[in-house]
Amino acid sequence: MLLKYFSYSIVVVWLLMALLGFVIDDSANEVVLSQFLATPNSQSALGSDELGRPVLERLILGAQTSLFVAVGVVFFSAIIGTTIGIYSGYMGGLTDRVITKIIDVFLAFPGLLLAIALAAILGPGIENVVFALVVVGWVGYARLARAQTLSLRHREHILAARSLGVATPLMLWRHVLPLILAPLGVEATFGIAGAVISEAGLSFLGLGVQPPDASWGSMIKEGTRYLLVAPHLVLAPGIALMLVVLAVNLIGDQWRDYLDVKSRQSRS
Amino acid sequence: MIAYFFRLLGSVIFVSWIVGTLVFFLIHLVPGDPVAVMLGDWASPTDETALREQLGLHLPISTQYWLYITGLFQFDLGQSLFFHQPVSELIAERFPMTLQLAVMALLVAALIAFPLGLWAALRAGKWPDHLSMTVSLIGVSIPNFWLGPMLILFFSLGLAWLPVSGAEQPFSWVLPAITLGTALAAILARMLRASLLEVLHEDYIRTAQAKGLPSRLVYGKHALLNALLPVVTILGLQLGTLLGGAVITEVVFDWPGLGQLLVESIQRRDYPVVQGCILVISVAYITINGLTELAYAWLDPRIRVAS
Repeated sequence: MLLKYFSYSIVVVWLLMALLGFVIDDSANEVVLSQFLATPNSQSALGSDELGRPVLERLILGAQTSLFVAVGVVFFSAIIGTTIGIYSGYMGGLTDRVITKIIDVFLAFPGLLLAIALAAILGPGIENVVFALVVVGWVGYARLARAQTLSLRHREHILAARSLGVATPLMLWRHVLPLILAPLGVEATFGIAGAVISEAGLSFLGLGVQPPDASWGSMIKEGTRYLLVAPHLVLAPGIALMLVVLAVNLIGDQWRDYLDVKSRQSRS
Repeated sequence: MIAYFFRLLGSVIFVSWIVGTLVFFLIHLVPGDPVAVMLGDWASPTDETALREQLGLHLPISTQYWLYITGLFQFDLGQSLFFHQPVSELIAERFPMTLQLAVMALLVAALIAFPLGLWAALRAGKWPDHLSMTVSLIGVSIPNFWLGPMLILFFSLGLAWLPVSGAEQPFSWVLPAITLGTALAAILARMLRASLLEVLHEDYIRTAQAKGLPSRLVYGKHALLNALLPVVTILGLQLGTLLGGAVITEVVFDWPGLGQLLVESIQRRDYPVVQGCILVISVAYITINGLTELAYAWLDPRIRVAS
């Protein structure tokens, strides 16, 4: 129960920080050299970075970046992946075999590496990060949606609808999709955690958001150079990142347990 | 089994070919003229023409593709623009370091995961279970590019026990291996717990207990061995993932492996090296996955028959 409150409140704080990012825009990029590597003080609650920019404000802008990327990546991956997966599972036959092969090829590629390759070639920038992570991310949803649809194909309500002559798109939308939304929702929750880490990872490697824009990953990267003199530069974004990922993973876990009727019964 | 082996080999070759094709097209995805991007703004037209010819970019794309694929069979991955050295040589130098790091990380992960998973499963629903599963969830949630600096801060800068970076000193591998292995340890511990819990409810475990076997034998032999099968598969599949994850860890610790070469080459716009690194890491990943499946099929006859 405690974990539940913990995880939801972290996510709420994350959302609020991202909203706050719209208000504080200018002060976060302001270079104040007298505040060079200042430790937390009365003027800036989390200290300042190597250009004297306030860490707290940059943390807030970083929250905005990570939220934007996470929502973008999960939104597009889920729509593309689910559409392909449902269609493949429902149609069966040659269509299904070809799509399954494509999914297998994508799964055979180390995901992070593919994202790094795409981000490297397309050049840095937040849109390219989203694009690279969607190219990697849709496969999970496609595989899940296909497997779920396969198990539904021969249900009576599908057969009934088909014998009434319902067109395929409507069938998938109204009779298949609602039944597979729950597991897809769980997948999307873990997908958000994954996208947050991946965005920070790409930015850490210098392939994501470019200066002066803030990302938790690039803040960690810049901070590691001053690890000994100013550990707060790495501590603040790292803890923020870890808490958000942990909270989102916890929520995913709770939803999965909730949906897993078998384990729910054995517990009660 | 032999038929299964050849089917698997065919699939490994097929996917490797697709990966090779994708890597070939990477350079054509560079926005604008890749040659201009590689040489920068100050390049003269003569330089650009020379580089274009060196890379074969003046040829028709079908010829380029043919030369690229046939080159791969001769381990010809092109020339590095920065090192003026064949890419295959650079990769041959770096690859053993990445492999070493990945294997060490795997060992670290197994050493953490087995006690943790076992403890959680045997005390399921009680505090050891909750504690170790919370620890493992934290393990999954810590990004390695943050864990690495934190370990450096504590063990290298604070306690001065271990080297900060590089690979020259005898214990240089310890921190990178922990950094890379932590997430895997967490995943493995959860897998092992789930797998053990499933096995522990089987009839033969109850039989073993009923006939009075000591619990050491019941858990150590009957339960653990059977629970290991899916875990071993994950272990093999994750070795491939480690090769990818090593990119970030190598950058954090300045570890002279393929990942570091990849990231540095991206910054230098040394695209032949970028292509080579991605190709080699991917093919290694695909091969390891293939070997894992083979081992799995060998261990469990049901897989062979079913497929």
